Parts: sequence; structure tokens; C-alpha cells
Amino acid sequence: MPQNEKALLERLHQQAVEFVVIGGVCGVIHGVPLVTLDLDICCRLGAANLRRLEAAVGDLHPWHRFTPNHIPFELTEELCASLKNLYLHTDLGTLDCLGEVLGVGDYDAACKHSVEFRMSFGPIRILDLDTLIVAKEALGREKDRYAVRLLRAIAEKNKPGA
Amino acid sequence: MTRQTEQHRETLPELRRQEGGGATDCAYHCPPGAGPAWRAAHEFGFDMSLVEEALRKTPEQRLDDHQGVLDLILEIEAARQENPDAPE
Repeated sequence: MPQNEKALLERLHQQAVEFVVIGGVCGVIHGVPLVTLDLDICCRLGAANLRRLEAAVGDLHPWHRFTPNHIPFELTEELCASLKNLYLHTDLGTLDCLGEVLGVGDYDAACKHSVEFRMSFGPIRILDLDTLIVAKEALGREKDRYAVRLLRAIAEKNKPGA
Repeated sequence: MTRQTEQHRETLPELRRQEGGGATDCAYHCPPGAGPAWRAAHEFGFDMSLVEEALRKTPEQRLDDHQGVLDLILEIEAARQENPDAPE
């Protein structure tokens, strides 16, 4: 089962999907040396953005990863209107698309608390370090508390004058 | 002291600075200016040298490094599934 986060990010960028990287990959980009097995993004779940998302992963055989029968990801007007989260498996790995980040808010709130990083294929937005800490603390899971210890250390080191 | 050890000391001069009582201390030491969060993470058991190394890289290099590790883990997992008798 492959997982290629960079390739997924590039596809999202190419299709101009409005998204902010959250979760473990966001931590990795900030410098956390922990491995994560999926790509979590917060995105606007309106019809236009969902269509762009569909264009980004449509040829990767996407399916709803929590469905035992591997129901394919096929957008309908009804689905566009009702989606709150989207958990996909694709040929390039797992992609979880959340409409809201716990402790932060919706896409607009996540975007407001994000920073831009320039990758070789173009810029992407990721949650800023302090907001990622807030989000992980809000989740309150043991694995997130592990990551928070490192994120706090990195935030401390990144402070001007540190 | 063997010739090999001597060579290592020449190529890793920082080891000399950490010497004490005849033994060479190769463990990670928090930098003198490390703050409380950094020290807490170190004392918790994280290898902070890996964080230092990551912070010296660009965000994209960090993502590439992570991909390399991920590929290895997934390769091992695939091999494990192909060899169900292999140790857990």
C-alpha cells in the first residue's frame, strides 16, 4: 500500500484545491521526526472545491476508506451538500479531508492560522506551529501528546533570539 | 588506544570535548542554551539530534526524508505479509 504525500500535495496544488495541511505531515514539515501514515488536510467542502479535489485524485481510484465494500469516491450534488469530512484511499495513499480542525475551526480559520511553504512544485499552506499545537492538544490522544512535546521544543527553538 | 579509535577522535573532535574520566561520552547533550521545552522533550526520551538535523533542512527535504522512511516501513510491512512466519 503506497503512501506518497508529496505526490498527493502536488496534485492538490495543480488543481488549485483550497486546502491547509494539518496533522502529522504538518508536523513533519515543521521538523518533527515522527512517521505518519496518512495525509490530513483541512479544506473547503463546497461544491467547487470538491470538484477540484475530485479532479486531483479522480484517476487514482479513490474510495471511501471506511466502507467495507470500498465505495468509490464519486461526487454528486447531494454528497457535495452534505459532506463534513472525507476519508479517502487512493493509489497514492490515504488522504483525509476535514471540513473543520478541532480547536481551530473551519477552513477559513485554519487558513488564517497557516503559513506558506514553497515546495518544488509550488506553494502550499500548512497550519502554523502554535496552531498545530492547539489542534493536537484539542485531540488529546496519547500520540498527539507525544508530538506536542516535540512541537513545543521546536517552537521554543524557532523563537527569535533562541 | 587503537589506531582506529585515534582516527575517530580526529574525525570527530567534538567527542574530545565531551570526554570525562577517561571515557568518551557519545550521547546527545542538550546545547547550553536549550530552553525548558527542548530539555523536557530530551528528558522524555526523544532523540533531539534528529530534530536538530530536521531543522537544518528545508521543509521539502524534511518531507522527502519522511517519504524515505515511510517507503522503508511499507516495504517491511509488505515483506512481513508475504512471510507470515517471520517474527513479529
